[in-house]
Amino acid sequence: MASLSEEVLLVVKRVRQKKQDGTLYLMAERIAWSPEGKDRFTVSHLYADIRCQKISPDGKAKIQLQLILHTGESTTFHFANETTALKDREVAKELLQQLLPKFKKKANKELEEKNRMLQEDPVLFQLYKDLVVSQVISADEFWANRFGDLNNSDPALNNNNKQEVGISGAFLADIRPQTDGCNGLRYNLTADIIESIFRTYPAVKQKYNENVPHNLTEKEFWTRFFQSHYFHRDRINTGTQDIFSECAKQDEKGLKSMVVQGVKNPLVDLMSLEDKTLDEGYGVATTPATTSTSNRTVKESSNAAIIKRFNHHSAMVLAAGSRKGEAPTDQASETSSTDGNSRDSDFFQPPVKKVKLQEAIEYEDLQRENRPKTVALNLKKSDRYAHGPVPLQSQQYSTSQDIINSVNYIRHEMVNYKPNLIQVLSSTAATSAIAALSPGGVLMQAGAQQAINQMVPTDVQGELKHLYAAAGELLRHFWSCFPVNTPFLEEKVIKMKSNLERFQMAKLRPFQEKIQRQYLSTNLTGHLEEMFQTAYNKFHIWQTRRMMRKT
Amino acid sequence: MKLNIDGLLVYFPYDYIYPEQFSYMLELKRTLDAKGHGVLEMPSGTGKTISLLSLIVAYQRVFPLDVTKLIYCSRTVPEIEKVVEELRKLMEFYTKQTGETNKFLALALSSRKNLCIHPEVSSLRFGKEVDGKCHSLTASYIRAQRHSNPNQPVCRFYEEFDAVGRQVPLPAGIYNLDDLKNFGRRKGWCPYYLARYAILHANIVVYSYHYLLDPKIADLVSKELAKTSVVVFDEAHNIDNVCIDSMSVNITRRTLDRCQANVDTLQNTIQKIKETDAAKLKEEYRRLVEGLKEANVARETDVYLANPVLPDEILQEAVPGTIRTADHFVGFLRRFLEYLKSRLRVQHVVQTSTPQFLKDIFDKVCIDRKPLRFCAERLQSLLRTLEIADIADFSAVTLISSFATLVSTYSQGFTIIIEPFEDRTPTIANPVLHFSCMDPSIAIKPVFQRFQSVIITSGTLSPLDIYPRILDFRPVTMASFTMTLARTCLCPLIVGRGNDQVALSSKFETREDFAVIRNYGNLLLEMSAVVPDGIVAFFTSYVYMENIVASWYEQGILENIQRNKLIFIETPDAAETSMALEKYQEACENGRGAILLSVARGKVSEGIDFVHHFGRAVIMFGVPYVYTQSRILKARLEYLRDQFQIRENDFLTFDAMRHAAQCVGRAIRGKTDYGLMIFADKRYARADKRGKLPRWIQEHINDGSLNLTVDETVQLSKHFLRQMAQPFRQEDQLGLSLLTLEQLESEEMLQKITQIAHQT
Repeated sequence: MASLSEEVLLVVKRVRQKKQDGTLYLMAERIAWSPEGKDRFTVSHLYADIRCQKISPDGKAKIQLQLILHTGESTTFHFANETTALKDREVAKELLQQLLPKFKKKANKELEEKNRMLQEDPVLFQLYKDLVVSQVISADEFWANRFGDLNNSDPALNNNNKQEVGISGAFLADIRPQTDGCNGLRYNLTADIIESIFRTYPAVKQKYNENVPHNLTEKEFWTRFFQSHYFHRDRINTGTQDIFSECAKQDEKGLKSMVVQGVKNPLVDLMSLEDKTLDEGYGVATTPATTSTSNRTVKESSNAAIIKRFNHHSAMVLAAGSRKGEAPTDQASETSSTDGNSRDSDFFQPPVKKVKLQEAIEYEDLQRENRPKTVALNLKKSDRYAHGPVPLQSQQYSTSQDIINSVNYIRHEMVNYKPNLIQVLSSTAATSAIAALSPGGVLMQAGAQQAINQMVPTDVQGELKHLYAAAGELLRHFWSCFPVNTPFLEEKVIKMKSNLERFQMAKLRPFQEKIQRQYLSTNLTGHLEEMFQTAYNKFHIWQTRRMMRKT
Repeated sequence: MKLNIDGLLVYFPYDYIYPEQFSYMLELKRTLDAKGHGVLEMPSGTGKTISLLSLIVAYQRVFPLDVTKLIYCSRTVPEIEKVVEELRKLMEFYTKQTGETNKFLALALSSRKNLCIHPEVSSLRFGKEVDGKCHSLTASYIRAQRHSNPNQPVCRFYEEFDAVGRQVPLPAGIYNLDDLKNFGRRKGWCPYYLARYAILHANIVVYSYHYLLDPKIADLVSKELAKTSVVVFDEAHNIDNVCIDSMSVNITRRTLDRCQANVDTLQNTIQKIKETDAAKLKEEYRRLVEGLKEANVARETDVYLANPVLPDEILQEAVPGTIRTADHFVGFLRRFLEYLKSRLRVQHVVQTSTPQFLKDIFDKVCIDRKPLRFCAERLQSLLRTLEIADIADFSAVTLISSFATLVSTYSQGFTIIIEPFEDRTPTIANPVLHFSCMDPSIAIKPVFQRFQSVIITSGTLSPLDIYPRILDFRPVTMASFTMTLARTCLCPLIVGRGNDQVALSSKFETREDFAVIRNYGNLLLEMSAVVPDGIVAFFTSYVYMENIVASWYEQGILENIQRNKLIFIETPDAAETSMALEKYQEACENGRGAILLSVARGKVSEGIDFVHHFGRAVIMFGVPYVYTQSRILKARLEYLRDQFQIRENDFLTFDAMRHAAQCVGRAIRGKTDYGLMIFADKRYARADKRGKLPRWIQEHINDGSLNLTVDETVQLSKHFLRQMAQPFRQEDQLGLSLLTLEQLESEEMLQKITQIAHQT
């Protein structure tokens, strides 16, 4: 199982798992554990499968590390080396912490994708329930086939699914500071919050990249972050030794550039709203003007700072949401927008302006709706609609006169009707013939299938449908193995055969028993059985041939 | 559709019509028939503009001699452009229906900043710079200098226009600002001067209030407009303030210092000219003696500085002898300046009337009233003679001379207040002389006198009777229209208490009360969880908003709000606010939802609409009273009481309520729109406040929506929003709030329509 070329990043000895001593290996793509004295791994998890790691709190007697998988299972490792246990654990944890996020994205995306497929396709979901949840085949097997198809066949669809997730406006509020009892505050940061901070404030990310880990540890970095005026928006920039003062300056610059760029929508541009401003010195100043910054109190300017920060924050959150991976195009659109706003390129401006103006003067309800009137589809016979027109039989339509004539003719015939009693069947023969021709009779056996929707209750029908779908899926897997020309396929075909048998036992049998109990025709599953039988036959032929070749 | 409005065939460019539009047109027609003035209040978003335009254009076509021109005044540039676009729509409809190309000329006029196409000049950012630069390229003496010196830069667009532009009239059509610019570019003509020239023969002119109300501009631009014009002031709820602003002057020490520098420059220039070209000054003197100023004024580009007083007040006399020579005039200015400086050197607040001020000036520095009146006129002549190119630099001396002219012209309706320091900072000396106009009727009087019909209209003009009183005119029609609604798409709620029963109010005594601030915060927080997309919240003043935001931040309320929506806040900086606004709209657009915190009486509350999802709820925190401690306001209130018998409290409440109504009205723009209007102050529940809201809001306030707690408000809001979220189709409206032509013509409906207009 373990290919030897794997790079081993860390080896920790004396780690117990399920009360058994052993060695923990952290490799490039997975974490594995082997018991003492054996050379194979009894535990092995791909990083991509791991949802998170948990550690036992400091001060506990047992020093443990728990891995929780996406499937919900968990594995606990107990670091048992008396002297270095804590250190061992820390090292393992740190390494895992760095490794996990790398794989996490991929795993998440896949998981999301699977989830979405299941949600969108009820048939698939049912199949999944039938096959995977009831452990007929494993989840990996189920997806292996499907996913490959999807990835290859429909790249466009795949692209669409990569929807960027925006940022919560209140991510900073989610960091609830808690008092730790001795005059300190504790902030809980999650990877999501850190990502939000980085995406919203690229300046902080830059600082992080510059300083962590060579100047500061991660913890120190965030501690400083929370202490800085940058986080506390009401504190005014005082010290320059703060590493975040530069961030604030950058923000300021960014805000300014945004302001200078101006707005694209002329209807919200307050600068050009007024046609003719009053000349300086004219007008009634009703409110005392305190625009001069010099005589503002500290309180006031801190208030102004809060307001500015809020505007900036909201703008950044908004921008982070719409910011795509491709920066260059963004750049391009930005530059073009500045062009559009500079006054000498008025040629650009009118379209936006015109559209906005038109929108503003539109009264939709005063206008007659422009689009052609549609008529609601009112179907009396929906099946006819679904099947489309049936070709006309070459029959002649009869006029009402014809009908009247023929009625008269029949009446006339009836009046003159005389039964020819010599050629009549006996009554017993007639009844038996009628019985044979009624549904369920000897001659009507073949027609039973058509009448299934009358004969069988709907829940059984539904179940049968699911069975068919599941069986079909399994058989598809089975038949896709032929011709068996690789060892892998060989292995798979054997597995599939056992799967088929298992399915027959676990699903088909109970169903058959059920319908027997309800006194329904066992014929219902006949076709299924036949299909299975064909598969088995094929398998046996293949197997005997293989045996012969081997011998 | 074609309508029959009281015997007049009106083309209306839509297939359906709101009943109130029909009613509005009826009233308008009556006003025009009577050749009188009207005050019409119609809810925003019911198609006021198109009704106005349809009727007046139809009237102009049928009675071309009675109404020759429509002058449509609006407030902001986007509004002006919107009006022109609606007009374009109407004209297209005419062409389609009648088949003939219309012979109407309609155009928008705006300042140089919005119309200039000169590559260098138009790249300047501020209006004043553009004006100054334009002047330095187009003044007549500059152009005269070019004859001798071909290197003198001039504006080729103006030259081209001046050479050929006046011979051929602008072809008929609808010209928005951009159309004018394109036309100008194509022809190589200056669009600004083209537009200014074209308004004289245009059928419809759309421009901003200032071109009619500010005497400095009106004299230049609108002087020759025909008497038989109809003037419409749209969004006119603030018209009194516009009038007052254009006639008031503030003088600080800085103004005086700069003025001093200006006077020194004048002196030096005079000296220089005396040495080189004394004949010029002599020529000017001769002109002034003969009173031939008019001949020179005709040069349009030179009239950069117009007289600040109204046309009929200008004396038809020659400039008095004491200030006729340039030297004497400069000496005169110096004396006046010294006097003003001495007045600013006060230790306590002084308030005087204009006659007192004039008497004092005569006693102290022996300046008579008559030369003062000619001050602006004389300065204008001097600046022209001295050929000063960079006129923007002389704004200080211009201001002083305007003040001199104003103060000596009007003995009534003005007051002079000299404050040695700001109220909030009594230790810092910052003397200001406020020369403030208290009577808006002074500025608007010539408009009422000159034009046969003046229509004042807006979504919020309640109570209607106060406008004729403060503007001093006699309307022939006054009507307020309601909004016919198929579903109640507005939901005014008055929140009076917090959940803890604390009374909510922004009144001065409880302004700093934490309980109130917290409850306000809770209200916003809870609403942010309930209301989809955009919420706009208005505060009574900027300082108040700053304080509340700070304490919300401390209490962590803002952080909780951020969980639901992004927060944007108006700042005193217009550019910053514009950006915040755009981001706000973006956030509403992409579904994240946002809250905009803004200020009543601010730029946002006056000029920006929050249609549909941009504003599903408006919250008005407190009653937006004007800052009542201001001495100017006190003087004005006193004047209103003495002259117009309007009680102080009535006026203050009226003023506060019109701003509140303006704020909440921003959210509703049409019948398919819907929005909550939350008045968060218990004082709104009182009859005197409630009664001053526009009728179309008032009639939806019932006893169940008074004095609610925050919880009750949230419940009612939820209910309302759930109802509004149901699909709303045209069929639901038809016959009730939307009519086809047949429905309109039914007897029963005509009966109903007459009830929509509420006469006062």
